[in-house]
Amino acid sequence: MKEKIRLTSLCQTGGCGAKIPAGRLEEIVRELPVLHDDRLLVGFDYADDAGVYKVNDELAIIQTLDFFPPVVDDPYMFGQIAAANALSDVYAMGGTVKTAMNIVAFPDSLDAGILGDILKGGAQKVMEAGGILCGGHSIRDNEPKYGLSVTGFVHPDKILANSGAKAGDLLIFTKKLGVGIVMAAKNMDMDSEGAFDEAAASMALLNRYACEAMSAFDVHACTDVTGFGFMGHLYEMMKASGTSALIYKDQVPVIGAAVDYADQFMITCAGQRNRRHTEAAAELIDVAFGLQEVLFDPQTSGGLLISCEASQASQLLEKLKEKNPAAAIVGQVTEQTEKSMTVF
Amino acid sequence: MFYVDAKGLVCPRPVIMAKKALESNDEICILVDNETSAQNLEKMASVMALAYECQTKDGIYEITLKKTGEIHAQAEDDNDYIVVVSSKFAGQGDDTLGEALMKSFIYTLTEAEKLPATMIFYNGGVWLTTEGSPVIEDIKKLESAGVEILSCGTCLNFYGLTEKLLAGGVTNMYVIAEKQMKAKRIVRP
Repeated sequence: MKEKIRLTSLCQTGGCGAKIPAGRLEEIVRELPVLHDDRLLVGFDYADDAGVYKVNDELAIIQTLDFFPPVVDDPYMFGQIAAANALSDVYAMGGTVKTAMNIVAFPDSLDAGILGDILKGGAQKVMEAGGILCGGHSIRDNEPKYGLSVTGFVHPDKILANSGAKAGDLLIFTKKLGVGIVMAAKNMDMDSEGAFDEAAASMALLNRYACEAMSAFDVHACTDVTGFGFMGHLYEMMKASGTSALIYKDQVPVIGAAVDYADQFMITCAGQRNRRHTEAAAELIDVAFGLQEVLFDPQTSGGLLISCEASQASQLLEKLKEKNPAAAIVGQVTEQTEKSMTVF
Repeated sequence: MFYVDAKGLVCPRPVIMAKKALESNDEICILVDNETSAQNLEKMASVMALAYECQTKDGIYEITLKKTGEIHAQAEDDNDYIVVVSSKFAGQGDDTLGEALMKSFIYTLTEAEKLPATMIFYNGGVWLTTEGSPVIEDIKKLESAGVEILSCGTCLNFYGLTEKLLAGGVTNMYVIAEKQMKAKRIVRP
């Protein structure tokens, strides 16, 4: 019998909340030398989900990696969630997963069986994604961390960047928001409404199905909502596309308990950092405090935010709902206005 | 004074500790060592209508939170209303009279005991929030007293006034419709 360890107690911030704040990151990346290669179709420029490199007219490869400290105590589930999160970047670009490598940091002091379970959870998700694990790298570290480096394929003409949204498009979001707040409540032993299971299942759900549903429709832009929260990733999409967004606050899918917890001030530092980063670009009209916090809440393995030709949005939504029952039309894209985002 | 030491902790912990302490104390002092936690405490203070004071020394934020007994002050007031202006003239009839009446209407608002929460200007109403408006000083006075001033962006554009806006912000028809739907009362000149 393995000793019951609370993995989440070993680190300060779990999941995508561990991300370095967007504003700070931009400053650092700006200092890097910019190299040009016509075949690099998507790079640093617009804070996109993954890099895309054109091999030939028929094929481009998508490269991405993601890893973080435990968000849940169960090692197998942590492995599943970290892998689903890393794989998601390929789906956000409209691609298919091919190969993956494990990224591991693990303390000497912990039972190796825990690491085994984490890796098993990850391997299960890679398999579900239709990809194959082909190696990895591990280091010793007091804080456990796990994730994947993933390579995917996409046709060069069918890349879904975050920069293609057009005025008139409708915006669809595929998962419920609020998992960061629910995890924070759980870690404080204050998940009084028992929302943990719902949040964990949502995080472990692959975005593969949503990606496959999109392929038959005129989708102009797509991104996955992770550490910078719904508002942060929406902002990146609008900025990159030169458009603005109107968000219908009552239509955004949320875990109800997350709003309640936020109302009880179960509010995180990462959420506040996200708010600071985007609040100047956002107008929130009559949005209650709890919902505001959920809109800025960092998501681990969040859903896809899809900008779709308006006439096809309801058909796409119907298709999405087969695997993502929470999916909803959450707003519309407009010409650029003073504020990038208006929530009302 | 009740002290809470939350140094070395990250949110939600410091905020939850402060909230718990406030259950049995009217005034607390909480120590945190990062700006984000201080900001989260400030957000809580504003939602709970607590008086918030913060002093920073050597990277430590010493925050005093005090109950003010005005917790319900933010609740909706039965006297809330918004003003919607869709023309530069008040009422219909003679335009010279209409312009004079509008001046008098806006001036009256500045003197009102209860100010409107929001004033929405659309169609010809946007002449009043832009250069050349005979009532711009009164509108600015209302804005600085906390009244939200909104002009319709499409209308500004139509009349070529986009660059000439002198008070308040720009909005769109969704917001204009929504604000009216939600308003307790709408006053029109």
